[in-house]
Amino acid sequence: MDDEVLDPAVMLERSARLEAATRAEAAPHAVGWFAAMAALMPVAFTGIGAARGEPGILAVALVFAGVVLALSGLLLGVRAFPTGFTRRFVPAMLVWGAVFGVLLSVGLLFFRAELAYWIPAGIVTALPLALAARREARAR
Amino acid sequence: MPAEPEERHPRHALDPLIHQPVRFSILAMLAAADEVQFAMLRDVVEVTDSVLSKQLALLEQSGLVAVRKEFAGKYPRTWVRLTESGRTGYDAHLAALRAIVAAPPEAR
Repeated sequence: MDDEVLDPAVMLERSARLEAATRAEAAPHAVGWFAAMAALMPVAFTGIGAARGEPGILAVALVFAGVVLALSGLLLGVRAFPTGFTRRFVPAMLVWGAVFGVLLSVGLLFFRAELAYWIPAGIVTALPLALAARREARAR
Repeated sequence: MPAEPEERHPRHALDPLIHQPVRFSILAMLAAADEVQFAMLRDVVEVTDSVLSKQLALLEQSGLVAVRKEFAGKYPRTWVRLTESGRTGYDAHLAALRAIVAAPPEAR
């Protein structure tokens, strides 16, 4: 591939192939990150609900932070970000952060050690992330 | 002065800068992403580092792509993205290619 002149049909075929190759590299990381974060939420919230006392909650919070860091570290190996990812990422994280913050605060203030609160709260907290994963999977 | 044809052939809309196969391939990859790493462009387009650098420099000088460098730990990484005018130019180029392909064979 240097200064050759290609047939327009060949160039169109090439553009479609290269665009597909880029999406194939970029999309799984974005979808995987959001999906893994979504899966983590019910586990983390259940862990907080099941924890006994401040040390237990602190231990769960540390493990949670470690897993989030490890998942985010996986993004360092990404070689391409899907079109519009940056634009979609910030609002998705803001919505998730707000839901997470409110449900965590309410739970810690009023429902400590009540799994009947923490399990559904974990599922609700996972929803914005699951929706973001779905949106990334459908993004073109 | 020759009369202007009523409708110019779509090949006139082809941008010679974009039409070169390596540059066209780079832009095709960038069109499907916010940003792509230099290493991925090199691997998928199947060119050497120096060829890719040279073509990226041309595209950057023309304002079609933007290049950003960062460090991941000790390792330098180069990210490339399409600029607004790059996306517009690439889309227009694709439209011209499609028009040529769609034209009757005797008009190509």
